[in-house]
Amino acid sequence: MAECVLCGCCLAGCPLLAATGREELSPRAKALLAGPSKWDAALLRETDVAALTTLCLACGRCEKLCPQGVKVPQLVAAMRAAHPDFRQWLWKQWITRLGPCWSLAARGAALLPESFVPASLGLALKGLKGLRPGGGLDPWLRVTDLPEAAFAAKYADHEVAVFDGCVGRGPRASSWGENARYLLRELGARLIDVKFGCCGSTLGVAGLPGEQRDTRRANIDAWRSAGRPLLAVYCATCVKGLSDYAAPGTDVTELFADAAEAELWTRGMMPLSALLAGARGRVTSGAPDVVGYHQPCHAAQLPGGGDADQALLHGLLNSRLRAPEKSACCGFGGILQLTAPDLSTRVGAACWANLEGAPGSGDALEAAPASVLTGCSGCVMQLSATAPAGVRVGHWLEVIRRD
Amino acid sequence: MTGNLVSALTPAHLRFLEGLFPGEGLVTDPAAMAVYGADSSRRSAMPWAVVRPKGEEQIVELLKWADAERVPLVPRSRGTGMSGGAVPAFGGIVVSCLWMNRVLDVDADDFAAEVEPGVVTAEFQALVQKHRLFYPPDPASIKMSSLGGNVATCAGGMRAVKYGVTREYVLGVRAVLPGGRIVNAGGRTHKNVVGLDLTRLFTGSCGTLGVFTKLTLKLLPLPESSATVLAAFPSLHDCLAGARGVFRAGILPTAMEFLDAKACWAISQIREVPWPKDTTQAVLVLKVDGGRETMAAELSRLERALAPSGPLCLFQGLGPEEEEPLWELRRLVSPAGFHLGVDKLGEDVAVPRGKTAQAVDGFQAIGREFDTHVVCYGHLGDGNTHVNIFYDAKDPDQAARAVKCKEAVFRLTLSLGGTLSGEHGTGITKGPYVSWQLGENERAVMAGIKNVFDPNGILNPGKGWS
Repeated sequence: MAECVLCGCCLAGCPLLAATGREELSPRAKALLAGPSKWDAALLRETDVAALTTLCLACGRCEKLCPQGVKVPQLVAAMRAAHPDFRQWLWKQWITRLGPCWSLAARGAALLPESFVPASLGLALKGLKGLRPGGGLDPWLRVTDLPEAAFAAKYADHEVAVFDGCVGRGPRASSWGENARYLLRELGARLIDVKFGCCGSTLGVAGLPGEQRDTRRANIDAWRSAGRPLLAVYCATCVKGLSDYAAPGTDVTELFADAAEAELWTRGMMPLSALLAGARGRVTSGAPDVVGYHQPCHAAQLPGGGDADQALLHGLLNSRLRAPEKSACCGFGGILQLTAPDLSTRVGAACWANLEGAPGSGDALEAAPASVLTGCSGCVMQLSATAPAGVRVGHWLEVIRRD
Repeated sequence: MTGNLVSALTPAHLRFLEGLFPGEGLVTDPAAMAVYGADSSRRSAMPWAVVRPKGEEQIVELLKWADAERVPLVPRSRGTGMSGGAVPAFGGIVVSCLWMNRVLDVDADDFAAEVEPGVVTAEFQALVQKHRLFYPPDPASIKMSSLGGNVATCAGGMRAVKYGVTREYVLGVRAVLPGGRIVNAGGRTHKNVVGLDLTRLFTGSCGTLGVFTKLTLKLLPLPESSATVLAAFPSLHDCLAGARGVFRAGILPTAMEFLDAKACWAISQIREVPWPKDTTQAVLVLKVDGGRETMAAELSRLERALAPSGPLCLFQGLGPEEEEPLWELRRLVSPAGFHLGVDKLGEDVAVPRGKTAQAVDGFQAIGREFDTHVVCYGHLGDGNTHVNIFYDAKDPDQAARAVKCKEAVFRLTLSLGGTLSGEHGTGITKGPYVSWQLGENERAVMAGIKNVFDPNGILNPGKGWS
């Protein structure tokens, strides 16, 4: 990997640095420590370096700003992989055992007395409670026009499978998968049912490359045996996680039969919102007065650039949708919510301040019935856990009405 | 110079710091301190400790104590300086200003703002724009550097040709001096000739005279619109002729930047570039600003002024959205250069404006003479040229040639009546060469001034003019 030249371009994007003013948490500090050491090894204890370096949200904003192509989230993942300790073990429990049934974990979390919860897990549990059954948003948006013609012209010959990832199948989140399928059927898609697991992105971030490889292989096997259908993905982080299977610079033969199959995977993997681009809708009764939009760090991009979820919601909601001028990280951060909940909370607070400063929203976010919509399951968890009183957070799929 | 200062912190020193900077305000873990010992010059030294004041009271107490105990202090905000000014190369406690980042006041009637030193420059610019006000200085690091750092280094930028550099926008500085004395230099008025100009003295002093706690900055009305032209040329001389043509047409551009052939090549290694790669030997980027209705006409004027010098191609951008991709190319040149070599000596000499062509020709010839990659680019409009020398420090021969190259560049610059640093400051990378430019009398006066502010030499030791 390229070497950091300490130019500092990354400083402009790091949500951790912005929320804390602590330069040691910046991507530059991590690249400096993870790179060839400029200091006497005796001075820097490896465990201290590892502990500090792994305080990262893995949001990837620094990566996009780096002129040298340094990928700090990858450096951090490698550092985590090289220093397995209690936290990694813990997270492995969460995402490999509870992950496939987040909703079950959420139900369990809701029942757990607060006093039994180790302080360091408080925020994570609160996030899970946010996903508990019945915690979702009520539907108030009817989709009136869909781009059926454009879809037919491009994809008439293809079968389509919905990728639910680890969050999309539980009681609260069941509406995500069901509404995604409903919209795709209305669009004219020929749906087939394929059972996928976790996309693996969080496993990689957590420094568990072996587990990540296994879950990726399982997903590719499922896709292959279903005849390599188009994948419609509704979680922004899953879109990123799945496109990383065949990211430029990776050895695709590790996962795919050959480069052609990898290409098929990349071309056939679509954010749901991009397939629905141009849809129009009508708000029904019960809609909140203020609808905020939270842009995930890994926001899925339209083919020509731009956040696919935001573009879709703008078309559906017009001026009712309010988005901050500049997006801010929610602070979920892969595993930071577990490893450093205080930092995660501070980034979350900065994110809410940013949402409340969105043009047109004034201070109405807390005053009127307000909802914040987003397109990433991690962001839904974190924002549910940190939302001000009276504000409800959900995936945009939750507000879709089925007739 | 540092003879009377302590050489390490004692347990008693650390106890004092723990009391004054509770909790996260004090950092002593080497892993966490490492980044505070480095900056964009890529020099580094481990701080003895890092403190994060939240307000002036803590700084006053810190400077009283440090002066009495003879403990060196190195003020720092975002660490994006290019000459090692924030690197504690001679030891000491790093004073991070990142927690002092409030904008205290923006006044559209006074055309003035008051800020703490840790405010990020681009964020400040965006904020004042909402009031239809304009803070012109725009160093390449604008998105990540801070106003405190910009004032401490008198940061330049691309708009200097029309609007000048940071010093033109500093109306006042409030600073704490060693011993805890608070000095209010300048004020809120745009004109002020009472007493000596201490504000100018603080601006560009690299943290050697005091620790800033408040800056009063001058603002302008925000121009309604702007436009940009990027033109590629088959030779550097055609490019410089194009620049002359623009001035002769009576146009004062907001920015006028050039890139030489190696700079163009380096950028093409990290981005898609719009110019023909085979024939382009130099690129000129120009910006004009003013009323919205006049911009299209200004673009045509620029195009007419450039035509006689025969550009290979010409791209126009009207308004920030169209302009940004053109300027992004220019901003990337500094990091892009690392594709020519893993190590860099980044110089920022300036010559009288009429000597730019002669200087750049000379710098390129020096590169050929020492068989070393020399990349020239920069602020054609004001004579400030970035001369970046790329090499591999692991190869002793290359490293020696790079230093010879740098010294030859300095000698040529001075022979043309120029200066060793137009905007980066001397810091540690150019400190040893200051005596090539400044005479004994000038340096003695500067040392005397330093002595009045900081008699025990605790502030940023080793960054001076001796």
